[in-house]
Amino acid sequence: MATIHKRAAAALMIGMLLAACAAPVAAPAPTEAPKGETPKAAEEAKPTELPPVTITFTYGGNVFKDVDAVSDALSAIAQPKINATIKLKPIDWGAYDEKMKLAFAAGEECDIVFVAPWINNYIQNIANGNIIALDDLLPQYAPGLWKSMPATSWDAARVNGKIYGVPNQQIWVKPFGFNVRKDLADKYKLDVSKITKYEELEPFLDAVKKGEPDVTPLQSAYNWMFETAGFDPIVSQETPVAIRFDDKDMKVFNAAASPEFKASVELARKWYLAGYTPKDKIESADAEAMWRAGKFAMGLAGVVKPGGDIESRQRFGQDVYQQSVTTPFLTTAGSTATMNGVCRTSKNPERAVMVLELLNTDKEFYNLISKGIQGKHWEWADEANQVIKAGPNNADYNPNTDWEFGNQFNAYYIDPEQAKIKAWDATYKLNNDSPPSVALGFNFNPEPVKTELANISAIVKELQDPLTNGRVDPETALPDYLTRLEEAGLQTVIDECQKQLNEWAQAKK
Amino acid sequence: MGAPGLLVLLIFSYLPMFGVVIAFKDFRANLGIFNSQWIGLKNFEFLFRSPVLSRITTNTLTLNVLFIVSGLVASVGLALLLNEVRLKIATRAYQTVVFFPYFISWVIVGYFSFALLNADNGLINGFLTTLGQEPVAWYSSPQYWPWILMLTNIWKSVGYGSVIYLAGMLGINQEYYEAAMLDGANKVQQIRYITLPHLVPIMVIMTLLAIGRIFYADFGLFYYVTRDNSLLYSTTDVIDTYVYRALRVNADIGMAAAVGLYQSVVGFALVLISNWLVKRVDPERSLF
Amino acid sequence: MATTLQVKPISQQRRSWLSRNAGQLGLHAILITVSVLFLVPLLVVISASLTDEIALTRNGYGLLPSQLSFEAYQYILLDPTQILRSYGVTATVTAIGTIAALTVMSLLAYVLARQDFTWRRPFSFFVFFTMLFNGGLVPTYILITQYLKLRDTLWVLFLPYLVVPWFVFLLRTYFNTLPKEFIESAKIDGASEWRIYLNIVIPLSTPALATIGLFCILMFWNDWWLALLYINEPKLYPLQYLLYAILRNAEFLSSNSAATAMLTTVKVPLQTIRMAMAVIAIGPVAIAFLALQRYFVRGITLGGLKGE
Repeated sequence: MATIHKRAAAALMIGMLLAACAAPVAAPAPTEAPKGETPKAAEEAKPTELPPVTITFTYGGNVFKDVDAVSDALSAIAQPKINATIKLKPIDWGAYDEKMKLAFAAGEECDIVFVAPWINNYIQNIANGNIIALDDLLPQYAPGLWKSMPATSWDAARVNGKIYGVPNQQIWVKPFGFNVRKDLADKYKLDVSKITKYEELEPFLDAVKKGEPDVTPLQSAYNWMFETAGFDPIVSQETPVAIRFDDKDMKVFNAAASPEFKASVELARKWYLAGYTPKDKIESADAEAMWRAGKFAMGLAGVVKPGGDIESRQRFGQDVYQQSVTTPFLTTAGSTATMNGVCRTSKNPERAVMVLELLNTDKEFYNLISKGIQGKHWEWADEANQVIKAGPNNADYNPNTDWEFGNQFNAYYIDPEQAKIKAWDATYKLNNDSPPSVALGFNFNPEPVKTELANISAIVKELQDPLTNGRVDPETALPDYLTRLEEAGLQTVIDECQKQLNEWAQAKK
Repeated sequence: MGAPGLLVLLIFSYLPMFGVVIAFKDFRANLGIFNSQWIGLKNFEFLFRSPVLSRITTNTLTLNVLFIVSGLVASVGLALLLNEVRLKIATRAYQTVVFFPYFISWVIVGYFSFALLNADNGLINGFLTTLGQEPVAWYSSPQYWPWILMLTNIWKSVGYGSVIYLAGMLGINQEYYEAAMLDGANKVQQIRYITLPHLVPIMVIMTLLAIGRIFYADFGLFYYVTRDNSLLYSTTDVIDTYVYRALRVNADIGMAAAVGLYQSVVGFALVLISNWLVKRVDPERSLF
Repeated sequence: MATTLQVKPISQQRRSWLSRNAGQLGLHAILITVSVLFLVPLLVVISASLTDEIALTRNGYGLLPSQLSFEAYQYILLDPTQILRSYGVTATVTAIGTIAALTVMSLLAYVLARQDFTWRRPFSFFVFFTMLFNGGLVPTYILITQYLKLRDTLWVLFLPYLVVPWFVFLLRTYFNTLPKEFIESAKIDGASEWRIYLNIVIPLSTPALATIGLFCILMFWNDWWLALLYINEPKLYPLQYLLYAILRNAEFLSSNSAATAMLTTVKVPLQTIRMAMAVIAIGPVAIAFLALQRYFVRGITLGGLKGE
């Protein structure tokens, strides 16, 4: 029996890190990847004189029926320009992390690969030598891409002074705020534009609670976000270690011991006790169905971006208002949320970078990979405004992950209203106008404290979760949480982080 | 005759086994297994320095013991009942039905238990209220959960388990029963003196094998059925769920390998002891 | 089993039908109650898979769909050719895998069960050891993909599971319960080891082989882990992996905060999809289960063999 169950369990653990049953090891030490061409030759040669090569692009996503057709169409664009055949290699999301880890460990060949802080981890891939530094290649082989972003954005991707990944342009700042059902907001006269902090929502929540027996006012009382408090989460969203984004002294502190955190969990507790939320926690995947069923009036702590209400209407089947309660600022984590890197095992890193150039600067090329083939997977709804609609065979190629492939601001709009407000321009402006965090470009190296981080990560899940959801009394649970964090070595992490941060600041001078 | 089987094990299990060294290494993909640095027991540190080590160890052990015992009793019990049914078609129908939950994934079981137990409109609380009882906040009451998990586990696996014992019963020589009936033995006596003793070897093997995996927990059961609810951790947090939580931020191949090795070694030691005990009583029934 | 119950002392036959069958009736009462507890959730799964997700969220689970909808099935069956092909892959792997595994394991178990085999204990240990210790994923992956070159082949979907220590030991235990006299007398008659195995051990062990065979079917049918690691070609996706991939991709799109608006406004009914997947995956195995059952109930009469 247990044998079978073991496998079922292993199964469930998939998205997770090679857990208990997973284990070791390795590939023969890889030698320096042979270069298919010298940089010099490529530089001097006309594109058509480049020797033909195939460049693969490995990323997470559905393996659509028409992937090969799209690869061919991409190759048709890339061949005359850089003489490269493109081969797309999507891997199902549920297998992506695991498969990449194994492929790298086994030294399998790949060219361009999708990396991020949340899947196929960027920092770990660098630590493992899986992806290469692009500093020398980018200005030479991807000049357009290199110029498309300010130096600060490139700095965000730097680890130990080197750039290992190309950040995809999209919403980089995190203006957290709330979603509220339009009908209920109007009915109870909630003027969202007047709201600057969550506390001010209370009269509305109370009115919904009293007036709408079938509606739970809040999906969850969870309202804590580093950014809302003006904190830059320099270790990770899951570790309560931060600096204030505008603190020139860059003092690293325990975010869980801050007055802002205390206020946040007290508010959550108050709203939980007031019965504004479900008594038991709802999983986010299930919450969506409940939104569509009209069970909730409001959700907190979501990213409020230009055109976000249009996207939410599609997801929740409701008209919503969105309003941010956060002064947005630019952080390393935000800027590097989705990136593409080049594998150590690539035989043609120069050509791979040229493909990255196309992905980020060639609008046709980019939309081909993110939306598919015109007339087949999409059709123009309004070409003048760059708005498209689904084509007859949309189901055969429809990745829905623009942010994965390149500069999202080159994407065609899929809703006329997005085009009307020029959502991409507005997002670009928001990114640019937001002040950078003082630690923008600092990437924490977790290696020296990974033992502490493992235990802290477990404690955060165990004790912070109920606190931020208002399910336990902060009066007793918060001090307990802080003690447990100390026991697990939070101070060691803070000290290490401070040390690295100081060194980074020193080096930057 | 056994050669093909041994060969399969040799290739797929023993050949890659050198990989256990990764638990003692700071694994780097670009260096490979042999050139990665030795770091001694550092990968084990996070587990042994965990402030909740005793809690997750105790939970894993006690819950697994609970599952082994309850699973054994339920499977054998159900097999005995099924074995007594005279109407063959009915036996088949029952057997099929009790097997079905095996196919229902833990994720779905998690939905059902939530429908039954949630505090807002759970069916069980509704039932308690109609009886005039106080509703129970199940998802914040850890004391009930060992039993809830035990029942869920039985529900899901008893069909599978009973098949094993049923097959064992079919191998018992009918002459024993005929002789017993001539001696006037009743059903209960027949079960006690003929059926059960014949099932002992299977029970012993099943238990020995289960002991080997006593430090592993069924992740799906503990994660989905409890909805990974941290208020329940005091009785439901096990090694596998803890490791999942601890390593979710920095997935580390070496640390994960270290945990796996630790679980195996403890299970192995326990099996060696139990096997030795079994051998002293009856060498025929030992595992090896 | 049924035969035992027919031989009753005469005194019992005189009692009324009711009192004679009281035991059986009680038995059925218990088993029916148990069955209901086990059957209801299954019916709920089927009904939920056919319910509109919003209605399901509003009204909760029921034995009948509160609002009929084929949305979940439509989502999964978006590409019916892929599903059919995956059924084919799974059926092939299950059939070949089960036969091969049963052959290999029963041979091994038989050897380990023979009391007169000197290396019995060390070999048993050799088998048991692999249940607890393995080299882990990375070396296994390298072995299978680089040395055995099994990636994207049907082989990789069953070869690694050909010997399951747990099943080997169960088989060994069943074989051990066979009366040793049969084997002894056959040996005296000069029968070869293969003959003994084929003509005596196998026929005497049908319930045991059927049990392990069933477990193998379930194992191969339900596995998606091997496919996750070693299959990249959608042509070779087994059913369970296909379902897993559909579900995980859908979950990803619906819960990832970075997800963008969708070009097609296909709502992903996650909950009902999960239910529909269970239904799609259960069907054929349930049939296999029913087919195998006759081997469980029939049993074999040792008496008959004795006469040979």
